[in-house]
Amino acid sequence: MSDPAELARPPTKTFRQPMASTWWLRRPSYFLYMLREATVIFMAAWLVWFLYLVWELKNNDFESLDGNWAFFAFSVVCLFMTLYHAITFLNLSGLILRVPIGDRHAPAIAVKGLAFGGLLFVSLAGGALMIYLGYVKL
Amino acid sequence: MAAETEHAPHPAWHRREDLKPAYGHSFWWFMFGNGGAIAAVFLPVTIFVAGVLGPLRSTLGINNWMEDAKHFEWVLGNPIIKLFFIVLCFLTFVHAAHRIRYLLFDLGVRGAVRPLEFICYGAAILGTVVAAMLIIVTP
Repeated sequence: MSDPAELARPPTKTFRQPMASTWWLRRPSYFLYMLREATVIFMAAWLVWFLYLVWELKNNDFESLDGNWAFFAFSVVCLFMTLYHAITFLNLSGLILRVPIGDRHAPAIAVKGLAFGGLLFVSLAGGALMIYLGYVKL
Repeated sequence: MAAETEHAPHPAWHRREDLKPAYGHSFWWFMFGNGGAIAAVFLPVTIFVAGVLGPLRSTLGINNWMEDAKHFEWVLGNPIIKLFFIVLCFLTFVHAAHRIRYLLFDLGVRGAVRPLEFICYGAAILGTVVAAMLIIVTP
């Protein structure tokens, strides 16, 4: 057993624990994990709907979003899902992003603070800009 | 007995001949990470202003960049805005493709790994190409 070549060889057979496809319904934490994974479906779907509006604009069919309640309801759900994605994703930034400072790394809390600060800044500045553009006289 | 328990040290993983760097996986993981961050920072405010405030314009009295075709056309005519939405679509679609591929695995779809990867990443690239063409030619 002390032969390095023998030790280096990967095992030929491994045991795989059988797992039902409904494993994520067993615990709330498993369900929340899968919900986080599924948030991307809503994020991508919202962009597809947005592209459909661009398509309407190209064909001169777009008038206004005002009173479009189907888009409103869909966007509220997508916004909730996107925020869930944003919070869970940026929460991991302190663990994943290793910012070197000399022979040390920036503290995780600082990296996380920068990530959430970026989200706050973009939300406020971007939101203000998108609203302002609606008031420009054309 | 003592001699048997003295194992030789394992060779470092990067010196093992049977392990190769997974360049494809690292590329898609890199794009997944970037897509997740960009979508997390830029998508919430875009959805809130366009999707939530847009339909409530006459209720709240707050205008926005998609309030009518004239404003929508004018804003979308800007090359920086076009670039922003193309990049947002690309990174979000790639991020979604990577997550959906592993979501299916978690749901028990364990076989057909390669075809699933082609379908997921292929759909993301195709979606990006369609989005880019549409955004570039509009208005």
